[in-house]
Amino acid sequence: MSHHLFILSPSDTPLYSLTHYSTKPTPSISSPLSANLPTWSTSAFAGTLTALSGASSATHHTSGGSVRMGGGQDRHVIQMIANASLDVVEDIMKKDGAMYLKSVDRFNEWTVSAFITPGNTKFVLLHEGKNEDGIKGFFMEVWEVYVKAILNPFQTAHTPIRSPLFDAKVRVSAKKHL
Amino acid sequence: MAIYGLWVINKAGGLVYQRNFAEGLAQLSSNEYLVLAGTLHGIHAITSRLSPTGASSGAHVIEGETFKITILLTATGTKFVLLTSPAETSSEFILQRVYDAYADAVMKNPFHTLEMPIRSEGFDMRITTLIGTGQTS
Amino acid sequence: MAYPQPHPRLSILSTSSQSSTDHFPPSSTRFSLPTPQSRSNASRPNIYDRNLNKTRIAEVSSAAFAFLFSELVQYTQKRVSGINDLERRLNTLGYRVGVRVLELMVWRAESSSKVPKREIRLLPTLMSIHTQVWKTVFGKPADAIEKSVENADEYMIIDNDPPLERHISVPRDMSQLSCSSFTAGIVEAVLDGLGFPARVTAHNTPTAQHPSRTTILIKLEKSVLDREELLK
Repeated sequence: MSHHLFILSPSDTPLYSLTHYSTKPTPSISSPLSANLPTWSTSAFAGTLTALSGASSATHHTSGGSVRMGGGQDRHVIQMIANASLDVVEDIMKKDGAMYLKSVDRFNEWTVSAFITPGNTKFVLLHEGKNEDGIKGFFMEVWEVYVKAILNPFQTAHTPIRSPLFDAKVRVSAKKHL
Repeated sequence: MAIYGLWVINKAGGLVYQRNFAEGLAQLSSNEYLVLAGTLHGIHAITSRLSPTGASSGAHVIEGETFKITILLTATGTKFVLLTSPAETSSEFILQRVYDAYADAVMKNPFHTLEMPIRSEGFDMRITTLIGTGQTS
Repeated sequence: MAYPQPHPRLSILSTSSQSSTDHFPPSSTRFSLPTPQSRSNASRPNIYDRNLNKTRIAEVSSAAFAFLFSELVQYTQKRVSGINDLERRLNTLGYRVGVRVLELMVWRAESSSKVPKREIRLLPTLMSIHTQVWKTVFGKPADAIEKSVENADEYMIIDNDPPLERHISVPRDMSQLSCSSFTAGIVEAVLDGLGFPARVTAHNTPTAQHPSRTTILIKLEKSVLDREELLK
């Protein structure tokens, strides 16, 4: 089971990304999360994304991830899904003050969770299973490391984070929570 | 007891601040003040070498029949000079406080240029509060 | 001119520089960076290993800050063409500080909360700038917050004695200059981060009682008011 983390600046430029392969067993998804979401949240991008992933539009609504079509694990598809979810994230954050937005978007086997820092930096995580507490714990730790990173005077809200120490800390958190 | 005037002399002997507080001093032109400050600076330098027992920080007080000059020398060579009546006892205390005001209102002011005349409202105000504009009791 | 006699004030300085030379190789001067070796010996751990709450109640020497800010103004002043330009640059520098203040301040307040929140309403945000941000940065809340009577999109935060300007005397020929433009930059960054884009400027508004009274003027973008209307 893999996780993809993207950190995006307030102007949505990518600052950091991490792919984490979890060794923990995939928890089974009992209820399809997409049922709680407005259908337009995914369908708006369905055309483009299915074209990219090669899946037919019919399979994309199959819940539970039993049918996996196309290259859902392709790097560019992952990025596309993360990017597409930003519109949903931005809609929600205008109305809701919560920093942790759980399962804001769903596409094929991927669920998208997000975290908005006070300075409007976004952490976007693509995950397959349901693991709310783990993801929240992970986001909280990433937030702390991010605050430490931004305290560096050479770091601005718009420059990619290249610190190896930052990377190491995020990886440790990912291992612990995901 | 009266405080007549305050001078600040920079490390090169230039008069960067001069203010009178009470009547009693001879009226001098600014040029004459500059000459006096330079002379005092020279005298001070000589007194610092007169000590028979090694190094000295120079004259602290110069007393006359009708006046007293108290000098405070800072670590960086700036001199604060207070002209008072001979009976004035608070000179040293006042000079310390002037030094405090100088450190705050002059040295921390981004619009002050080192070794140049002090033009700072903040410093003027602090000195006014400290010594007053006129006669002190 | 040399004054060999150690002055009481000087002796404080000289002992501190004495002790610092113990840590550095003899060739290094007071202003050189510590060598990698001495850095690894230092007891201070890397920022990533430190607790962000450790310095929560720590205080910074106001004198050290005053000197730093003074240098900052002097440095900026050498590189600008006029007062407006100077204020704009101070604003930019403050903005960089504000971005960090916001993240750190909210982290300290919310990281232990079960449901961490970011403020999305305008008035609570302005109030938290008036109180929380001011306390974090200056150690005291601002003195007043007002809504402009003439313009619905303008708010003012008033500080009767800005700590930033306590030691600054602006020369008469630059009397419009307000060094609190730096503070305005901090406010702008906080508002921007929370999603309230605005133009923030600083103005001298002295009164007889408070000669260094300063008003931070916040002019919100139209989108902010539109959103507030929707959230009502």
